This record gives sequence, C-alpha cells and structure tokens, in this order.
Amino acid sequence: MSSQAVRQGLISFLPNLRAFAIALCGDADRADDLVQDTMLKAWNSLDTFQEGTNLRAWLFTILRNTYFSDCRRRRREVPDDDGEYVAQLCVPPSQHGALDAKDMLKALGRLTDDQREALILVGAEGFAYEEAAAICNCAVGTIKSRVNRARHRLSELLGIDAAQDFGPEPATEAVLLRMAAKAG
Amino acid sequence: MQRGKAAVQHYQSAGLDMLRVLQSGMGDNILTNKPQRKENAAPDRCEFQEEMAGHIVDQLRRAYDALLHEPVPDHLSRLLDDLSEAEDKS
Repeated sequence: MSSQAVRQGLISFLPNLRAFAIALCGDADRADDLVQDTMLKAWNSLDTFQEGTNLRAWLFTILRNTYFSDCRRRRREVPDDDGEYVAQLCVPPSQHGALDAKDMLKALGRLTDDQREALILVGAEGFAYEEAAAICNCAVGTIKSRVNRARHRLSELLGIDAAQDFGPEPATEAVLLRMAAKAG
Repeated sequence: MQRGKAAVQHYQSAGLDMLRVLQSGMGDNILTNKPQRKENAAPDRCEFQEEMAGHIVDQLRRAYDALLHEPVPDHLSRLLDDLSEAEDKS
C-alpha cells in the first residue's frame, strides 16, 4: 500500500478514531491527544502495516493500546483508591424518557473499560465480533460476553425498564394525544 | 363396558393435562422426572431482554453518529500534511 493510500485512509478514518476516542475516555481534549498520538504512531509504523489487511482495525488497535497505556500511567500518577476521580467523571442520567447523546455518553463512562470498548467497537463502529476480538487481543467469546453484559448494564444505568421508555418525549406525546383526542 | 373404557380414558387424559399444568409452574418435568430446560422456562423474558438490548444499541448508534459528525479540529486535520511535509524535506 503506497504512503499516499495510507494517508488517504488515515484522513478518512479520522472522524471514526475521534468518535471512538471520545466514547472511550469521555473527554474531547484527551480524545484529541489520543487521536494525535495514534496518527503519529501509525505514521511512524507504516512499515509494520501488512498490505491487504484491515487499515481501520489496525488504527483502532493502535488507539485502544495507546488509551490503555495512558490509563495505566494515569493510575500510577493519580492515586484513586476511593474511586473519587471516576465518580467525578460519571454523572447519572439527568433526564428521564428523552435519551440524548450526553446521557448515553455518561452512562458509557460508567461501564468497565473492557465492556465499553467492546460495545463501541461492535455496537457503534460495526466491527464483527472476530475483528473486535483481534483489536482487543482476546477471544471472540469474551467479546460477545462483554457486549452482552454492557448492553444490560447500560439499560440499568439509563433506568430503562420497558420499551415505552424509548417513546416520544413528553411534549411530542402531548401533541400526539391531543391529535388522537381530536380524531376520536 | 364401552362407556366404562371411555370414562377411564377420559380421566387418564384429564390427569395428564393436570400434570402438564402443574409442570408448567414448576422446574422439573413431573412426567419424565427430568429437569426442565431453562430457556423453555422463561422465553418471554429472553425475548424482552433481546428487544431492550436492540433498543440500547439503536440509542448508542445515534449518540455515536452525533460524535462522528462533529467537526475534526484543524490541528488534527493538518497533522498529516505536516508529517508529509517533514518527510519530504528529510
């Protein structure tokens, strides 16, 4: 693969890398640093990229490895025995009913790192279980179980007990009810 | 005689029905004395959980889609140009 083709690939996957980084760490500034480090590492390791393999998966692998190395370094630097630092990062959903992106990201932040990573890769990025397993360097069954646990934990965190919780917002519902009353 | 046989068959059939009703409310199969499979015990619950999981993934995709459409900061977009330039110079 020519350096020009890889460069095009890097540019086209930039929004995906950034979205993955934000969803992983929950902080846009830190995510930008992560993406920058990933790009630099990818650029400097182009000779290790095997032509014909999945460039997107390769880039995501670099980003998640960079993220987890960074996490380990931060844990050494910021003692967090009581989990206070994590508690500051995570806020329970503020609204009931109308789920927005912020609520979802906050809830994602309360999953374990490995559950969050697996759910984003498979559920949001659309990687196959096998690809996600290769990126996370674990067994396919492990990824499946992490995704499953993450989905159930998310529904708990978001306080979703029934499918109706995904229904229209109160304002929309009021309009619909009024229209139904007029029609009836 | 015929009526007697029919009555016996009727009560046997009713007894089996009763056992099946009891079995549906218990963990074990009374007729065969074998444990009932878990997935048969609560199919509705599994279906419900699957439906909920599907909704969760839909919501996640929407939130992620919003992130994908956020503008990428200039310094990241320019990074590759800078790297190419530096490579060309060297």
